[in-house]
Amino acid sequence: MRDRRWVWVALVAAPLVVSAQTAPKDITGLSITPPEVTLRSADQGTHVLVTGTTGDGERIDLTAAAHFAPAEAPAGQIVKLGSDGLLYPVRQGDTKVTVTAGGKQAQLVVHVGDLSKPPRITFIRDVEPVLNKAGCTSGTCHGSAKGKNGFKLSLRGYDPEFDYEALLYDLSGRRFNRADPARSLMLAKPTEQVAHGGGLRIEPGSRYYNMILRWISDGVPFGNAAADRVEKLEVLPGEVFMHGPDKSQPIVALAHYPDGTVRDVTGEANISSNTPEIADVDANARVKGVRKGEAALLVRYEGKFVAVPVTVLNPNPGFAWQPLPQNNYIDELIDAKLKRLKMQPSPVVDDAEFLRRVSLDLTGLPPTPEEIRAFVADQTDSRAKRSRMIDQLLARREYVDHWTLKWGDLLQVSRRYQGDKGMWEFREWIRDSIAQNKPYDKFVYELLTARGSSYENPPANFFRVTRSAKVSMEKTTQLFMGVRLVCTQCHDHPFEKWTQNQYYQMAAFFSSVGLKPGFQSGDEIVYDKREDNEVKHPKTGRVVAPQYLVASLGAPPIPGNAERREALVEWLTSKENPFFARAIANRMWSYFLGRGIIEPVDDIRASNPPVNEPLLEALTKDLTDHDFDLKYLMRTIVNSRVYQASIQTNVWNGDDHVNFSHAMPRRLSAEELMDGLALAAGSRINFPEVPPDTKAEEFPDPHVGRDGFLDVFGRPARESGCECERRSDVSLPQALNLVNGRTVADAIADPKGRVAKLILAGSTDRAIVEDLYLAALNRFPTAKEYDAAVSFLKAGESRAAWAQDLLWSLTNSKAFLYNR
Amino acid sequence: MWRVTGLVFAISLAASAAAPELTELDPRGAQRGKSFTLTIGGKNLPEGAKVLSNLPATFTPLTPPEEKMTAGRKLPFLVELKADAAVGTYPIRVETPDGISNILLFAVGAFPEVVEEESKPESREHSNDTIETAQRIAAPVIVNGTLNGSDRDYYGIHARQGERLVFEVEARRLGSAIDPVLSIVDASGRQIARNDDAPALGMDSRLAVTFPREGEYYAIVHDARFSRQTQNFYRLKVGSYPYADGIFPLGWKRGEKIDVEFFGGSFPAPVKTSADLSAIDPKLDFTRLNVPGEAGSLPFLFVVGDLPEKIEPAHSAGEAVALDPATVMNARISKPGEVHRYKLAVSPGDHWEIELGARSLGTSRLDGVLSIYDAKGAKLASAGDKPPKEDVFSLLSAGRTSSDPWLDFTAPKDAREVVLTVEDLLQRGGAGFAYRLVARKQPPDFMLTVLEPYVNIPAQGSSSVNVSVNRHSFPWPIQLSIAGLGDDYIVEGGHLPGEWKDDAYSISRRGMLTITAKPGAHAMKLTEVAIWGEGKTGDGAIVRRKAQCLGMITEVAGGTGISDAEDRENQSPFIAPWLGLDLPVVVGKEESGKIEPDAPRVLRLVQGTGYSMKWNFKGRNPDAHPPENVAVDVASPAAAEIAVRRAKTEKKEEKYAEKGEFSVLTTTHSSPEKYDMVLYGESKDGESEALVTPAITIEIVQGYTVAAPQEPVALPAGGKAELVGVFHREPEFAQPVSITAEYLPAHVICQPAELHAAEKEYRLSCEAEASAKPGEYEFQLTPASVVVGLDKREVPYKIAPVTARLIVLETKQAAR
Repeated sequence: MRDRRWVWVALVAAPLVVSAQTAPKDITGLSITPPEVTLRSADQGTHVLVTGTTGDGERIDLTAAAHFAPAEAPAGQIVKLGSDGLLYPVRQGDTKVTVTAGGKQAQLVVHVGDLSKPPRITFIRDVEPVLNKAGCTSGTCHGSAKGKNGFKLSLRGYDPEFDYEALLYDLSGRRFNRADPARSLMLAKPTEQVAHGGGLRIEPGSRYYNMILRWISDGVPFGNAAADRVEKLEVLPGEVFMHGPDKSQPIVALAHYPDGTVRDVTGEANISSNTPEIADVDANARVKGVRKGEAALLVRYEGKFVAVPVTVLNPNPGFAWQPLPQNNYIDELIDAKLKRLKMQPSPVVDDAEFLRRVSLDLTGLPPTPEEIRAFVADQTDSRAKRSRMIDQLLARREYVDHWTLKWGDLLQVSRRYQGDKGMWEFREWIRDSIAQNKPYDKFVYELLTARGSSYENPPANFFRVTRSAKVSMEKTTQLFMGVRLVCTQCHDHPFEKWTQNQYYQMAAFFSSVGLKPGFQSGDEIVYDKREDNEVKHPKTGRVVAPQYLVASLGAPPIPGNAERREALVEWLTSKENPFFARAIANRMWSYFLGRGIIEPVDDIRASNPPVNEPLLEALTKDLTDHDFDLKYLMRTIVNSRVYQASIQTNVWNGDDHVNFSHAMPRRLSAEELMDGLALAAGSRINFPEVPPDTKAEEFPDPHVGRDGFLDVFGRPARESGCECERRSDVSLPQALNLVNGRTVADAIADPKGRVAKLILAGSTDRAIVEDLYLAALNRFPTAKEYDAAVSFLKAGESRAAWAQDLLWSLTNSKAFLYNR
Repeated sequence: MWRVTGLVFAISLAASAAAPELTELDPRGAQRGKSFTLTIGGKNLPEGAKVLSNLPATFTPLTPPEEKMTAGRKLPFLVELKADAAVGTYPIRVETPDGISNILLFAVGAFPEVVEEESKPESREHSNDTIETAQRIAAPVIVNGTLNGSDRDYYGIHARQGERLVFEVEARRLGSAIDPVLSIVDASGRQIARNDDAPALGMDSRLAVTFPREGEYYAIVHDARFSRQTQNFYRLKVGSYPYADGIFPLGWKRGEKIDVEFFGGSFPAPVKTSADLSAIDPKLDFTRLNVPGEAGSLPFLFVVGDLPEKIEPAHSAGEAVALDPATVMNARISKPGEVHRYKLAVSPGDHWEIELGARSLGTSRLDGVLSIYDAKGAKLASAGDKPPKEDVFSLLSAGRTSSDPWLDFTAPKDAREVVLTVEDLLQRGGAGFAYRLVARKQPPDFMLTVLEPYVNIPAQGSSSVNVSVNRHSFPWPIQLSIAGLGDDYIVEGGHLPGEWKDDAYSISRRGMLTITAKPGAHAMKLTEVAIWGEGKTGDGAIVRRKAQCLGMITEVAGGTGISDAEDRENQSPFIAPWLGLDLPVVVGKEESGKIEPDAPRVLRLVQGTGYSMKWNFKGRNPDAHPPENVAVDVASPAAAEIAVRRAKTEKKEEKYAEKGEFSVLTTTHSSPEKYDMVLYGESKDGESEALVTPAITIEIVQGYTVAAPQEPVALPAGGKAELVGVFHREPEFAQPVSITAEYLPAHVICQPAELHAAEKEYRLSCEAEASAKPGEYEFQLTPASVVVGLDKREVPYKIAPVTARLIVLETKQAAR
């Protein structure tokens, strides 16, 4: 809970600062952030932000336009404004600075300590941040896996102890000249006084140069590992809201230390935007709006991270919110966001289009012509009949097949890993779980605690894919928490708080999982190893005790080796776990709306915030309140107006791709395409590895029909559990396959197929056209389409051949290829 | 205790060209007391072929359809099955003048039998693969069906509300290669129940369904892998009959009576019945026990042993029970997490073989872990709690499967008692977790398995018999022999060289021997012979073991052929050692000719040398065609030891291999052991005829040996002496050998010696300076030479140095 609270706070509770280049005239109030600062060292300046409040309550950044007037003191000024815009101390004392902007004034309280006794410079508090800022610890420089030119530092300085020792002891300590600190190699290299492959990193005589010089002169103290580490990073403002592109807003990063001191580290912090094409940030920590939309800034300093949401509003005038039906809380929360962003959502689709969309999304199959006719003809209130149809689809066998396929992808059901029988058994277990609507937490519990024969207890097949503690952990965290820890195997996470220690602590939960051959050919037994059953840290070689990734309620005490998995899964599947329900709620959402509220769905991290935190929070809560009933969650999502929105856009939401203001067309998956094609053509495409009439979405693994149509259209090989493995791109081979491929051609010309049946039944041209449109595009043709298609049929010598051509054309259209 | 773990299958060279071969029985089973027509299908089945079976029935030949007779592939019989025939399985084979066939199993059931319509010859494929096209059946019934690849057979049955029916598929237990999966769906296709592998049925399936409402239901049968198999039959049994999930104990001593408990399945409480083992054939390691009550279930296999047996006595939890040596303890892990402890009295240095029989005996669910602890509780050894080492594992079986654990254990110094523990790997327990534990004090042991289920020896020809050895910790050579053959037959080969690479686990290797009928040998009637292996331990103890015979083999094809890098999809074959057969041998028809190699029967090769072996085909008559291919099979194939390469083949009529040449190559590091090899010809005019040569034994020898002088050489400081020792050279090794003295004491030098063809001793002139320190020293004599390979190239050739002793004497001593 704690880890995502900041986002909620940022969105709901934090003051909004609206940036403006120049001060508007109707400023009614002025505030300074922070309102009080303490300075302790002559070379340590600090930023302050000046914010004006307009008559209608908007808050506007006025820092650039503000005038700072330090109060006069008998002994002279206590602070001064530097050319870089920072306030610097001049001498010890307390004072006030009068800030004037937009015709208003406010006062900043400043305390200056004894400048003759500046805080001691230490490696951990002062030098490492400079090495990081100068790029010495970057992955392209000395922070790379093998270091650079014989000098290795930890990536982005995640391991100060290691870096300190590397500086001190590598090259037999020749990096420091204690007798003449200015001639130290540590200064000579980055200032290019001697040749340096990395070029000039620190200007001689600069603040950083002087600081390192002082540090060497003081005897290169490491510092106090506890007291000198940053306790908290604070970024001001907490959220940036800009009334259009071309506006900007300065950012201030404040490091809080355990002793209560606060230091402005804006200059040393690493600040980046996740969407620079919407909001970019310059070297002076000023974020600039580029175009309408939303972005997030990631501010990193010494292992601490803060994400700052940035919104650039539509600058066009005339927006007036048009309320649309509110089917459930999803609509309310989406609309709240859209209204704030000045985006008008699109209305819902018609019944035929809804039926196609929801059938494909819930069952992987388009509706049949008969189903469409019946649904459209039904005069019941549209919302009620849609809801009823949703329930019917959720009860179908095809629903089970469709979601078995999805989980088969994620859990890598494949004879390559599990052998033929293991693969079929694993798939059957998944299928049975979905058919039972097994609560998701129970499903995961059974999977991750599975032991025994992979034939007798099929979820044990999970471990036939992972095969090691590390991979089991990586897959568990990515799949069920949406957290990627792979990079922390070698170093602390560069964009998150996860450490290398945590990687091994989490892996230790799987340390006892062993595999041995079973009593039947091809089987393997998952068991708890009694020896060699601990994970060791690669640096220390010591056994790492298991520890939960984050502390949360519902975390049981960690028991002995063989029961660790149970403890882990209890923690993982607890309703209080901050990741578990959230990750699956987000993933489920993405299946119906085309993208996650956090995207990618399996990369949840501070620097990748949700586009609508209240919505994700609400979906998560709804899921846990309903005991992880995924079918319930699906039903809720597809009943929403948001899900049923049209792909047609309006002037206010045309360029929105992330806020769900309209539906996004999605290319059908490989299996949906093949099954849709079979249904449209009234044909059945058979494969020797599976029983006749097996639909593509029933295929147990990617071996069936390998190297054919399905693979061209992006069926995943199930080499990983990443959603990204299923490709939804569009390619030339796909186009050629549709135009000239045998799959389409054979299906259309099937002697028992739809066209053959229509012709043999003596159907009229109009009936043929209508049936083909309904079968392929799942809608009635328009009057224009009727006319054009009927004349097309009449023009040919062979009505059958031309009907085949018509069906070919329809199945090659975007309307067929996309879920829209 | 019986088990088969070490099966490395070899090229089968036991079948002669015209010998009969069975591939099909139609039907696969029958209701007891009924008469029926049995059609036996296969190859080389001439009219008059005799059925060999213990099926309680008469077999009256019928006239086969003419076209079938031409091909010799179908033989019909009128079978009158006795009314009291027990439900169970019965082997059927045929004998013709050309030899005997393989065995197929025939089932006798208690219910009326029908045939799956789709499996009839005139039917379409996939004609009962949907609910709409399901074949109607009515209980009780047994359906004889087949499955091909992605076939899924549907059977429709009407059930009343609350009716309980048992659905069972008999397949693998009858020798089918199918691994059946059974499911029951309702009329809407909704699955009500599903089973792949049922308790105590191995890979076969069973479901007991109480139907929720009256209506139509469907039983669906398919192969777990949707694989294509030659033996692809199954029997779907539907009815209401008693069945059990397991028995306890799993076996007992021959000649005794024991109460056996059947539990689970349709029995709400365990039911006991008495098993009388007083008249069990000494050859049988198993008998069958019927499930109490009305007939319906196939009988359970029950181990019959020759050691004393005990049932685990009542004792308090955690208490260690005394385990008598060479006595089988029958017990079961009755609760999850339970650990059984046994005290075993030992003497330091005693070697013990400790075996646990459980899962591989057929009905137990125990994945056993066997551990030994010393008196202080320190673990000395364990098995079953980890996978075998990978290199050994890959040798253990084609299907790479686990076996029940065993331990070879030598009691440590000061040990007077050890504690054995038995538990389930997964900490499970229950009625079905039974085991048989035995500890025997004996030298390191090995087990042998004959890989051919039967042998047809061609008149005046040879057949090979392959034997797999499963060494526990027995690394020494083993010699195979055959008992029961008369003087008219020559047995050759049978060498299993020592395995010194890993003493921690069993190493599975293949040995091969050949049986050759002498010219003029009397025709032999069907005879069962025993194959024995004998080896001598390092202590000189003789270990002699009889090889297990498999009875029958059904090869099982993998699934769709996709397997991972570790080939886990390779399937273990079905075998039936419980048939209790030794190796059936007959003499059949003379072959078309012989392959005659020019190599001697024992080919001695010095390490690093080779032999160019020429062969030619000699027909029995001028019209005889040579085989299309001639190849070489070396038993215990160790690539590092011997390589055989085809040098050339001369063809006749561009098709038949008439003569040729192979290069038999060794390396300078090939182990000096004996290996067996045969040449064989294959495939002639579309029919296979295995022409096999008698075994050629390749004896790899060291080129020469150097013996250290028996007495130390006395060398006075400041003086000279001659070091003289025995040198032996193989006749085939002609290269000069140099012998150099190394690691001599300071101030002592010996001149190297070079030995040529006829020399039988070596002499090194040694000299000590006056400063040499008196005393006795060890030094090395290092021989070196070259060896000339088949390609005429010289390769450095060294044998292990020899340690010799030297005494440097003080000058005064020398003077005296």
